[in-house]
Amino acid sequence: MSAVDESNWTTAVRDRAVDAFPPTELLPDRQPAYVASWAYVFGMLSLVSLLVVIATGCVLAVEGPSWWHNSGTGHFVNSMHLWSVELFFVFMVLHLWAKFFMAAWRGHRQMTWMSGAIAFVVSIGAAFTGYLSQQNFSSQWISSEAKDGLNAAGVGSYFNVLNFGQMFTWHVVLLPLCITLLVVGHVLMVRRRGVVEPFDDDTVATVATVASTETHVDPKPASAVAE
Amino acid sequence: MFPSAIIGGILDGRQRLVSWGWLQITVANLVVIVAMIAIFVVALVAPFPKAKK
Repeated sequence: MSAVDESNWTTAVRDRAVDAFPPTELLPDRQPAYVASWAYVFGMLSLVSLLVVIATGCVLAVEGPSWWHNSGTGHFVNSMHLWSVELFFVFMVLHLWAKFFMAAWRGHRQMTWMSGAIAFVVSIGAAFTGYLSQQNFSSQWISSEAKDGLNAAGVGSYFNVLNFGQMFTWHVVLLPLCITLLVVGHVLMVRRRGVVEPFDDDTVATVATVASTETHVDPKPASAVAE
Repeated sequence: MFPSAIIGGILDGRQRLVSWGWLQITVANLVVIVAMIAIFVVALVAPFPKAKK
């Protein structure tokens, strides 16, 4: 067996990846007791909705507008795409509410919070370009209304909502790619930092620290100490 | 009135608005927001099924 070459960049990347995401933490078979609540389910429901959005979107992209407007199966898949997007936003907002009220950015999780917030904003853009890509009177109406606002903002020449080809490419390539990368990064950060503890755990840990030292109060929450 | 008639009246394609002072919102959006708040509250208080040992 040959010795490991430390100067090899693939070795360095692999070592860093395994250090950051050990397989047991990347795909854990146990969870903290406090996640046994329906309030912790909305993130996974958002993820499942996104998978349905992407799967149905792939079918629509393969078959094209005449299929989704004129065939029964096309209508069905088109509706699946629409309603999975609706559910995606509902669950994403519920997930955001839950994480906001539990201050889920505690314990060095600020990047997790921000990546989720950015994914939410990019998703709005993806939904908007989706409405513009319907190829019907509704999309014409929305694009002709939206162009005035975007022109007033000074971005109309770069982001032309009346250009179907440009909007369709944003909708099926660029924005899904952005959302996928953001969501994968978001989930990896959750795996790395773990799910945020309830407030009570922090309170108990801080009280215990104060009681044990009497003179020293550790300002860091229990999650940061554990790291 | 039969439930089908009520549902048919709601889903007739017309947009209905609720106005309260400066606030004006479509019934459809209001229903979605109220449903989301209800789901959120239920998620906080409903017991979570325990894992089988």
